[in-house]
Amino acid sequence: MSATIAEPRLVLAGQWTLFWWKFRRHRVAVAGLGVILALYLVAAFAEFLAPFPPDLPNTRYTYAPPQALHLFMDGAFAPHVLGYKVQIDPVAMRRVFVENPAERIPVRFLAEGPAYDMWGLFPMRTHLIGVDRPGQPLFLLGADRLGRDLLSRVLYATRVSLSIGLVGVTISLSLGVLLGGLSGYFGGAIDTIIQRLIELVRSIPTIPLWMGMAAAVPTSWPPLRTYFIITLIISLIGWTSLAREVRGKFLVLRHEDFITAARLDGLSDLAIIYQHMVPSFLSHIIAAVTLAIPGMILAETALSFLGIGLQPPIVSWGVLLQESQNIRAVASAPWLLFAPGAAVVTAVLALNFLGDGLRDAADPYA
Amino acid sequence: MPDPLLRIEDLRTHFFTPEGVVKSVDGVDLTVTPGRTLAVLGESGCGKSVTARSILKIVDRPGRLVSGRMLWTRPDGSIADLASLPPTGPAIRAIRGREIAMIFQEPMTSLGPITSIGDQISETILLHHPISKAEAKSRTIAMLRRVGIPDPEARIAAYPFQLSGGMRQRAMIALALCCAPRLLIADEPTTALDVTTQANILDLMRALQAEDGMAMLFITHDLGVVAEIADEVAVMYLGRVVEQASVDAIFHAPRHPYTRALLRSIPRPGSRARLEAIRGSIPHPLARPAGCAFAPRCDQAIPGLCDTTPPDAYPTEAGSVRCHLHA
Amino acid sequence: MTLLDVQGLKVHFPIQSGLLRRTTGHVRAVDGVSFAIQPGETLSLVGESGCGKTTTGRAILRILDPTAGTITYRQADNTTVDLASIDRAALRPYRRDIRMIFQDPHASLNPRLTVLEIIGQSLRVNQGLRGTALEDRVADLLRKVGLRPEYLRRYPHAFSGGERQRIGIARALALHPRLVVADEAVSALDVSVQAQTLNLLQDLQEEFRLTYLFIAHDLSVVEHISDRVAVMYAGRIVELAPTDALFATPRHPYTEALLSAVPIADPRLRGSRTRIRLQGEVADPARLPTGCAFHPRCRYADALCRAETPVLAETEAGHIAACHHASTLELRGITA
Ligand SMILES: Nc1ncnc2c1ncn2[C@@H]1O[C@H](COP(=O)(O)OP(=O)(O)OP(=O)(O)O)[C@@H](O)[C@H]1O
Ligand SMILES: Nc1ncnc2c1ncn2[C@@H]1O[C@H](COP(=O)(O)OP(=O)(O)OP(=O)(O)O)[C@@H](O)[C@H]1O
Ligand code: SF4
Ligand code: SF4
Ligand SMILES: [Mg+2]
Ligand SMILES: [Mg+2]
Repeated sequence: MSATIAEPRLVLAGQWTLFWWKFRRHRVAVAGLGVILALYLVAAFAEFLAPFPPDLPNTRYTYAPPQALHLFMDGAFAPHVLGYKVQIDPVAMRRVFVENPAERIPVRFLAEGPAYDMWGLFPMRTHLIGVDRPGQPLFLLGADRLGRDLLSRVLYATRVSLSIGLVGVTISLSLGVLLGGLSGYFGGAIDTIIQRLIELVRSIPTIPLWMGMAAAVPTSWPPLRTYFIITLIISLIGWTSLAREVRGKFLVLRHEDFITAARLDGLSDLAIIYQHMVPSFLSHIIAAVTLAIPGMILAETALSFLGIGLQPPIVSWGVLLQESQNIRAVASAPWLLFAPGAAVVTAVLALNFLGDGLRDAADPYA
Repeated sequence: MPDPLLRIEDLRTHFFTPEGVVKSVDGVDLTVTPGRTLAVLGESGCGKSVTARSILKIVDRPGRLVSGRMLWTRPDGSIADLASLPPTGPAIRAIRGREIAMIFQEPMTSLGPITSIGDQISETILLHHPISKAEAKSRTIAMLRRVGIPDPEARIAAYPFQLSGGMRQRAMIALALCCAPRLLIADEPTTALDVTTQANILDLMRALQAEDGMAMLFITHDLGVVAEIADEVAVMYLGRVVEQASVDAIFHAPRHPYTRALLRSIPRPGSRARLEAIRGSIPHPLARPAGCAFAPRCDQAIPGLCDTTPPDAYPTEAGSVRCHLHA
Repeated sequence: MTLLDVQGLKVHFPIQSGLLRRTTGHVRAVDGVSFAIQPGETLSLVGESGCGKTTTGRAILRILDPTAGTITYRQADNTTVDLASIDRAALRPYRRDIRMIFQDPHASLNPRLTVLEIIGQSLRVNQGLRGTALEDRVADLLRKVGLRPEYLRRYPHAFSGGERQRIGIARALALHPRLVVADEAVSALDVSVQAQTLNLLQDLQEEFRLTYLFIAHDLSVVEHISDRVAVMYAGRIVELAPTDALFATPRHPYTEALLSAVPIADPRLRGSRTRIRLQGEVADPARLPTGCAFHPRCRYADALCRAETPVLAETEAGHIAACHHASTLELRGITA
């Protein structure tokens, strides 16, 4: 910029305001942000949004196909689904479900349903949608081999899969910022050692390493412990790129004139890091983190899909995909594959778009 | 006056940014004569580089040539309007590099980093001339020798990063001149160099011009360099040429208030007197004053008159000025 | 009464290579520089890119640690201290007295802080100023450098290059310094903005009796602003003289070549001057030539020059040069 800007809005705009202005121009990224926020809301309120607990079987309705949600009945607003009729497919010689127009099952909002503990703390019975009597079918995304509601399972899986991304990235970030920061700030021998370590970790092919480590997790472990171990394994790889990013920023910033000026002004090293350096790369880190989450989600999905990641009864997108992995499911119950698949694709794409937008906006002074 | 080689009339190149339209070049008139050097002088952001890039039709997005004519005399005497040629078509590509060459301020941007300088020059020669590889190589060596690169037989294998700033700039010049262009556009070719290296490069360019008789469009903001190299000078302010005249007239009989103010603001040898700075600062490209763009900073501004656009300047013997005082 | 006396200053950077970062040599960026600055004067440091000007300035501020030499600073109460050898932690009081103006008005201001925070930083840290007291003081400084006090809460991106440089100057002035090191403070500025900034620097010098160490490569600016000029070549001072003497009667062949390369803003003088065109590059501070470092490019060089390093010697009062033939050569300057 070569001259004074007269516009008052612009002259008083701080880093984050400029960041937001620049980000806002990225339409796709803003849409991505919306999707991600929605997904994390779903993850947070999965118990409430899901009509049933994820593991509630209904043996009458194994492999029941998705129902259509009808909103109106006789011109009045009365959401309902149709019940199922069982027919025998003469060719394949097997039971198939067809809609039964005679049986209307009303869908209630804020309905009392199976009991659950919200966030494991507050006992509640209210669900966003539900049916009047237990046992009535409500399978908007279909049912699985045990007649469990796939919608509920996908909603609960969203919580697990997204939180793995988040927890994994938090661990990566802590490692990355710590090691990268040490490397960049002190330089010299510390830098050399950490750089060699990073190169070593990066030179190991990821998938076999994950598989090896994940396969070593005993199946007898409780699900929660498995969950944490798998998250840790995934984040052990992710930190290297974040560490590089942080180190690079530190190295560049260390020689910036404004850092030198701050030192001459009498600021201590710690004050320089907190007041000048961290704010300078915070936006970059946020972007890098956003771009790292989809990798983590995919890694979990891949491991679970191969059967060496999370194990039932934990439900994650990967676990759901793993369960749909048989000829019968693919041929006659494709929804088991599509629903979690679509969830993975949506989340990964949205995060990537969001991350791209954040990265472009990260340097509002460029 | 000899026939012009390139005549630019009312050139307008605007950048359509999300914040608004930046009128970087907004009605530029220039005339380049064969064998002579026209210096384009002006402060940062006044549109010098955009003008140069417009001639070769290499304006970056979101920039667009909005209007104007650029009449270029081809070697066969025919006249082509560069403004109307499609930017990626064969017509402009035949002219670019072959008839009009350009040297950029930062040599690394136009010298490819992964090809040796010798290969880059030979490739350019081969692109425009139907000769053998061996012949192209010997021409390359001759060219490098001409621009003063010592031991050119060995240096043709060097990569740009292996050369010092001055050497790189020489290689750049060799690359630009290898097809014997009729017009050389030099965009601040010496700004990044030391005075001693700058003096060498200016000498070189002058000598090459004397040998080849090519025309030069020399872009700079350094008045000293202008005085050293130019025959004609065009002074730009905020996207317009405010004065064009011979170099002697610019320095000894400047007419436009901006040209005069610019000359007064540089330190004079032997004088320690306080400098007469131009007050205020260059307006933001999006907040261009109406009427004469220099009016808010002009000491001779006439209230009521200078809020209107100064009349177009018609070239006279003494050059042209765009100012109400000289209407 | 000398304000700052630099003697035998050396700054060598180790060249490290290999996995173990073994030191395989040294870049002798500054290699025995001596000069003194008197209170209230402007001493300029000129020379080609890479000759060690910035390194010298940074060593005085102890942004870099000198390898050898002394930097004797005389405080306001007349006591002296060697800045080269004291502990970094003990530097703080002197960093209030000796301040710096940076070359790049974009890189030297943190884009994430307001003008108030940038200029107020040193006042906050050193004088504990807060709130309205700080605002008043910063507003005052803004007025001093010709900016409107209302700009307090603006961010640097809302200013032009020249205005940013004024902010940098205000920051340097905040603690009432006695010596200001201006490293290429006007080099990045446009002609008209450069004139405004040079005027401002001169006004402030008068008002606050400032002393400047002015680092630059533009000789016409240097001639305009300085009282004395030191010419550096390959990490050493090769000539130091009062401005007029240096420009009119240089005593070192390198100064002569430098002066003859300065473009003069008058087309009528074109061709009237003798041109001395230096061939080759500035000596590489990692591999200095034997004898006089300038000899590979010097047109007066002889066997003596190749063998022996010349030392700085006085040719006239206050005019020193490091050349074996300083007293016999007839060198041309710029006669105005
Ligand atoms: N890609 C772009 N997008 C938006 N605006 C641009 C772009 N390129 C140039 N401009 C604007 O066009 C104007 C003229 O730019 P130009 O590069 O021609 O200036 P210049 O005279 O060459 O300056 P300098 O001496 O700094 O090189 C400037 O205000 C600049 O902001
Ligand atoms: N941190 C460093 N490590 C190694 N070498 C360095 C370092 N800093 C500077 N140098 C070298 O020291 C020499 C002097 O550099 P310095 O920046 O002082 O030059 P200068 O005179 O200020 O040049 P310029 O006019 O380009 O600013 C150069 O050769 C440079 O490459
Ligand atoms: S037109 Fe008016 S304001 Fe513009 S330069 Fe001429 S006198 Fe000054
Ligand atoms: S000592 Fe010799 S080589 Fe060095 S500057 Fe003097 S004459 Fe030239
Ligand atoms: Mg330009
Ligand atoms: Mg420097």
